[in-house]
Amino acid sequence: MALALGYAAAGFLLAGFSEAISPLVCVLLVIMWYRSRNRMYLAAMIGVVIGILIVATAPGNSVRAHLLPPRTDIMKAVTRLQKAMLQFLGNEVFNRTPALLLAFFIGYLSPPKITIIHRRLWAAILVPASLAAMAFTMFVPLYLAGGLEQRHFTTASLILVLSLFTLGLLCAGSPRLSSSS
Amino acid sequence: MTFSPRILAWILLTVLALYAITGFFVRPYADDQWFIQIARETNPIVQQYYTWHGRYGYSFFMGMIMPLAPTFVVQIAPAAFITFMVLAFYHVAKRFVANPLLASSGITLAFLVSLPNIWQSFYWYGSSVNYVVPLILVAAVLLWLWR
Repeated sequence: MALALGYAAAGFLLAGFSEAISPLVCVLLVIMWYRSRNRMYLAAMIGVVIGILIVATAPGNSVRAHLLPPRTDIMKAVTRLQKAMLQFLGNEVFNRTPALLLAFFIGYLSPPKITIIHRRLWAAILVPASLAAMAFTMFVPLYLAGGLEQRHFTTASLILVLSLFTLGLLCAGSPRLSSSS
Repeated sequence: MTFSPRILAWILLTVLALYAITGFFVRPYADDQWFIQIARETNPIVQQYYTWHGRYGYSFFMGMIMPLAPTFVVQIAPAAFITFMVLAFYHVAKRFVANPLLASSGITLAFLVSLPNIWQSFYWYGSSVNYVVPLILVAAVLLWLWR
């Protein structure tokens, strides 16, 4: 019980930051609970959900909303999101090429400890899942604050890097690094 | 052709150290100054909750931690974030790959280089607390759950 409370407290602390990250953590915790059936994941998720509710119901949100540009409807926000996603990915591919190559090749050159089966299937799941996660992290500030600043791409950048690392791991072949580190 | 993962990892860590050292040139800016002022007058978490937003974790780091020693905190934060990111990714990667130090240093460096505006996302304390700290916390909570 004490451990469950500890996990719930950790989840609660986690939810006190960006609104774009907490729902993704909830999804991640649900997937992990489904795979392991460990109830501690649910305890952490309950903490995150309570945190999200406290953040969402803060009286300050309405005060802030009055000072920000009026919210556009969801369809317009989705259209703007598509443009923002393309701009972000274009900028990353053309202006941040070394970072993307580094992430991919570090994954490619790292010998996995575990046997990965169904590599193509995992890769096929990874690409749309990471694109959806990136889109979500951009959509929340786009909808709530009416626009995107460059700092709003922070989480999307990490998701992109982690996806490329994992993709490199899935595509791994020769040459490999020796594992004697 | 065989590469040494250890040498490669140390090269990446050296580059990360340069990114961390750059943080010592940062000064409190914009929202940082605002929170220093609020912390002198009232409880920043309560004040922010009722007048701006409900992000209590963000308000805690901005209003309770940073005002203790503003310049020192904002200067040390990038180095601390890089250290925690490498450590968190190291412990996560240890479960999956044979060269966790290489993986963690490579992912952290690729993340920093991939940021569209590194000043705004990483070196500015007011922004990095909102976007980088929860990412480190996610990794920490997952590691705790995986024990």
